[in-house]
Amino acid sequence: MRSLLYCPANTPKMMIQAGIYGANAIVFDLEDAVAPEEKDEARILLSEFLKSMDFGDAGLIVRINALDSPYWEQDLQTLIPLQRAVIRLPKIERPEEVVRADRSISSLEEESGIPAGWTKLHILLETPLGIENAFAIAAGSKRIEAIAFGAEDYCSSTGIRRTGEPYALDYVRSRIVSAAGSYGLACYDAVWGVLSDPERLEQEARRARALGFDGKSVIHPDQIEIVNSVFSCTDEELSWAKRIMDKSSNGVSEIDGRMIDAPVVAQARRILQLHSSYAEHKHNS
Amino acid sequence: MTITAGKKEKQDVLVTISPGTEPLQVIIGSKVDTLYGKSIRDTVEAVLDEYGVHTGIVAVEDQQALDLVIRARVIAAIQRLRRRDGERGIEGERT
Repeated sequence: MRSLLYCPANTPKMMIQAGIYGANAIVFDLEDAVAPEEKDEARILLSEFLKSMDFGDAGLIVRINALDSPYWEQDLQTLIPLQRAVIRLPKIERPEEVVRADRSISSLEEESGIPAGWTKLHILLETPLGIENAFAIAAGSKRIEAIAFGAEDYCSSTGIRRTGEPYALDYVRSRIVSAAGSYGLACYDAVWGVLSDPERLEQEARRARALGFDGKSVIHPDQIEIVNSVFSCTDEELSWAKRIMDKSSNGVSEIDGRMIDAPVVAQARRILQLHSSYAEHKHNS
Repeated sequence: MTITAGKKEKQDVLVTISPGTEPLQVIIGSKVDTLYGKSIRDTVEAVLDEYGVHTGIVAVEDQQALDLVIRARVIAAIQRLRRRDGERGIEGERT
């Protein structure tokens, strides 16, 4: 997935339209986008949307409330029986928190007659402690399929200014990429919240892609095209990948002076698979 | 004391429940009442029946909401009222 569009889970107008903009996934937000006094009605509204609304081929993700809040268990009780969405866990700092959520989900799956392990997780790391524990957290549950970065909270916990140089978050991003790669997980970069600065959005997306991220969360439909473009395979990459696959299948072990070994073939195969999945999404959108 | 759910925003709906002992009265307000008034009323009454609500006044201020939104907001209002009043003025459980 290249673009993951956040959508407040208590705003019908936005929820109705969320699937039409070409985002690869919609992240319905029960956490920061919903005021405490609206949590209950947001949960019910989202439930009705997930039961009835067709969102095309966009993946469906729900960011539930943090595990130190009084809301997350009710969020799961509402969502798990629907068997419709990936759960994004915010502000994770320790592997024990993932284990706690995993157990709760397992119990709800059993109660609802849902196959064990059906529900998948995205882990949102947004504090220094979470970043430092990224490897242990990534190993915390077989349900985890991706790690996402939450930059605003991270920056508020450190001296990093989000308006500063883009390299300021390189260490954090690289650690997430490395942790995700260690366990075969996808990783998604943080949102860029300044809607009036699409140049910086593109700059951030390019930086994240160069560091190894698979995609980026966005907070406005106008950001989708930029992110999809940055995280798409270039013509040059596609051409290279096709040549590698052609030559390797013919037993050639060198192209343009570069040895073709198993990791190079794996990189080429990944590029072609990504391109194929993006083309399929575009076709269905 | 009334309870509300939803908002008076486009494609949303504001549902207000005033508990009481008189037979149920449903009041619909909508710009598209002529075309969709009956459909809105059917949706609201179906949820109220599903949750066993047979008394009080339920006012619905529709802002051209989808059926599923109307349904969600009525459910939320009922659940809020039941949490607050412990069933007072609203009879029965979800059927």
